[in-house]
Amino acid sequence: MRFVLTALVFVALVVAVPGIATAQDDAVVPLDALLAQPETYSGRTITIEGELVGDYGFRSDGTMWTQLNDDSYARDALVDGGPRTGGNTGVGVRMPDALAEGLDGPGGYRLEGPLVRATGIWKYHDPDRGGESYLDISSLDVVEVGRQLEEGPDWIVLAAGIVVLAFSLGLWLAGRREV
Amino acid sequence: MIGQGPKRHRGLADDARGGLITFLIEIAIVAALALVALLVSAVILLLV
Amino acid sequence: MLIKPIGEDFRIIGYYLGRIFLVVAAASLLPMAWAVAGREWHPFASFVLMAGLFALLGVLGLRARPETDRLEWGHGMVVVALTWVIVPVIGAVPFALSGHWANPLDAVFDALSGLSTTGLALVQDLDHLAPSLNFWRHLLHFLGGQGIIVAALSLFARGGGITLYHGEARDDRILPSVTSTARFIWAVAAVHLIVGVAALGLVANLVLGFTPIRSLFHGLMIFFAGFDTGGFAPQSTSLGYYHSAIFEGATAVLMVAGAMSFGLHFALWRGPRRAIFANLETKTILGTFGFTMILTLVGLAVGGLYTSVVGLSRQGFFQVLSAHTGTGFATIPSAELAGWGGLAFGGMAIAMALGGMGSSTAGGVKALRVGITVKAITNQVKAVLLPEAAVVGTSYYQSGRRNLTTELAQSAMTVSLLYVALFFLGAGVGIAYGVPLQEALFESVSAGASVGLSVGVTDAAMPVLLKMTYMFQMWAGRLEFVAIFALLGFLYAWVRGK
Repeated sequence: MRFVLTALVFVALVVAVPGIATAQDDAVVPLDALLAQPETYSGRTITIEGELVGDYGFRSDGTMWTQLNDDSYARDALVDGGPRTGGNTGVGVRMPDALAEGLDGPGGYRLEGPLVRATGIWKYHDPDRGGESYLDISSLDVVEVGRQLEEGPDWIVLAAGIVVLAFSLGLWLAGRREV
Repeated sequence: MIGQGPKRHRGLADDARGGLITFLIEIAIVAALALVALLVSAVILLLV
Repeated sequence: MLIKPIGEDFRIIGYYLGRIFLVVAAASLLPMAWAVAGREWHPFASFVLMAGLFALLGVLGLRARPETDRLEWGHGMVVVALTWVIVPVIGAVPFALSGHWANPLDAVFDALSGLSTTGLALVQDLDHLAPSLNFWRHLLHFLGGQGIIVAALSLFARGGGITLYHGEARDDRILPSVTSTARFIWAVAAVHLIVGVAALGLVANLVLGFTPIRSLFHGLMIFFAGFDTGGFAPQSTSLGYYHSAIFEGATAVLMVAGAMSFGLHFALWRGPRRAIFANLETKTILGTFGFTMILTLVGLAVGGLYTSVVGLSRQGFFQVLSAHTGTGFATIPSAELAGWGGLAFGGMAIAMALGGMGSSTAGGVKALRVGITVKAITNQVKAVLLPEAAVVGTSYYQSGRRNLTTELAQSAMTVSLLYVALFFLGAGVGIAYGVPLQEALFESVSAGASVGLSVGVTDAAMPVLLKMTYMFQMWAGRLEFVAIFALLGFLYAWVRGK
C-alpha cells in the first residue's frame, strides 16, 4: 500500500513539475529586465506584453516584423494626458504572417497600437540572422485592440504665431519704404 | 593660361557621369571595408 | 590693447544674423507643409510660431543696415557662434510645445543635437511623435550638416562669404568663389538625396515590406540622419528597428558619403580621381578605420559577444563605421553598448574621437589633423634619430604637394588637444555625478565629437549641469573652437575694451 502511495506521489510530481516550469515560462518578462540581461534569456521561450508600434513589415519569407514596447505609453498615451516616463522600451519581434492577420494598425501619432501578449523564443545575437536580437513569436494574443486618439490644434499658439508673422511682414514692408 | 588649350564646357552629361562614378566609388568603399571586416572576423574567431 | 566694439560692429553682426534667420524661417515652411498634409494641427501651430520668430529676428537684423557689408574675420566668427546658439533655441519651440520633452532645456538640447549633427536625444515617447515633428528633428541635421551659412551664402551673393564659411569649420574652397562652392555642396546633397531616398525607400518597401508612404518616410529620415552623419532615427530602436543587413548597407554608403570632405566629392565628381587615394587625409582615415575596427572586433570576439563570422563582422563593422563617421546610428540597445568593454570600448571611443574628414558633416578631431599630427611627430622623431646632415621631408600630399610648416603642425596639434580637453571636461562632469568612468568618457566623446552613440547616460532624468555640459560640447565640437573663442573675445572686449 505504502509502495502504491509513493508511486502515485512520484507520478503526480513527474506530471506537475513540467507544468510548474511551463507556468514560470508563461510569466510575462518585463522588457527592462530582458534588455538588462539579454544573454540570460537566450534560447528560452518567454512571454512579453506590450504595444505593437511603428510598422508591420511583411517580408517575402512569410514573416512579419515589428516592434513591441512595454513602457507606460503603451497604455497611457501622452496626447491623452498620460505621464512622461522617459524614452520608449522596446524590442524587435518576428511572427508568421498568419498571426498578424486581423491586427489593428501599429501604434504611432494619435494611434495606440494593439496591446498584445506574445510568446516565443528570445533569439540573442542570432547567428542565423547576422547577430540580431529579437523575439521569434509562436503565439500571439490580443489583450486590447488599437485605439485612435485625438490631439486638437493649440489655438493660442497659432494665434501668437500669426501675430508674430504679420508683425514681421509689417516691419519688413516699413523697412523697404524707408529705403 | 598658355599651353592649356581651350576650356572644356562641362555639360549635364559630364556631371551625370561624375555623379554616377562618385556613387560607384562610395559603394565600392563600403563593400571593400565590409569584406575586410568579414575576413578579419573569420581570422579572429579562429584564433580566439 | 583690446578695442571695444562700436555700434557698426553690432550692426554688421545683426545684419548677417538677420539674413541667416530668414533662411531658417524659409526652411520652417517645410515641416509646416508636412503638418498640413498630415493634418497635424497641434504641431502646425507651433511651426507657425517658430517661423514667425525666425522671420521677426531676420527682419530686425536686416534693419540694422550697416554702412558697409564688408564682414571682418571677427564679425564672421561671432555671427557663426551666435547662429549656433539662437537657431537651436527658436528651433526648439515646436519640441517644447509638443509635450514630448520634459522642459525647454531638453527641447533646446535636442534641437542643438540635431543642428550639430550629434544625435543624442532627450525626446520621450519617440514612437508616438507626430511625423512632422520627427521630420523637423531630421531636417535640423540637414540644415546643420549642409550648413545654414552655406545656405545663406548660396542664396545671397554679396559679401561675407569666405569668413562665415571658415567659421563653420569648412576649409575646402573647391570652386573660385565661396558662393559657387556652396552651390556645389548643395548639388552634391541634392543628388545624394534623390538617389539615397530612392534606394532606402525601395529597400524598405520591397525587402522590409513597409507600405510605400512609410517607406518614403523612413527613407527620407534615414537619408538626412545618415548623409549628414547626424544619427537621429524615426523610431526608438534606431537602425536596429529595420533588422536588415541590406538596409544597413545602403545606410553605410550614405554615412561614408557624409564623412567624405566636399573637396573629395568634388575630386570624385569632376576629377582628377587618381589623386584621392594618395591624399594624406584618405590614407589616414582608412588607416584609423582599419585599426579601430580590428580593435573592436577583437574585443567583441574575446568577450564572447558574437560567435558567428557574419554576426561579428556585421555588427562590429556597422557600429565602428557609425562611430568613426560620427553618425551615431545604433543596431543594438544602449544597455548592450554599455557592455562593450575592454578593446571594444577602446576601438569605439578612439573611432568617435578621431572623427571623419574635414569640411564634411562629421565631427571629431578629423582625419587631416590626425594625419598632419602623426606626420609632424614622425618627422620630429626622424630628425632626432637620423644624422644631423640628413634631410627630413617637410611636405605632405593633399590634392597636391603642400608644405608641412611648423604653424600648420602647431595648429593641428592645438585643435586636437582642445578636443581632448573637451572630452575630459564632459567625462569629469559625468564622473562627478556618479557615472562610471568608462560610460562617462564614452558619452562625453560622443557629445564632443558630434557622434550621438549613447551608453544610456543621456536621459531626460540626467542632471541639468550634465545636460548643459553636453550642450556646450556639441556646440564647441561642431564649430571646432575658433568661432567660440572669437565670441568670447568679442564679449570680453565689449566689457573690458577701450
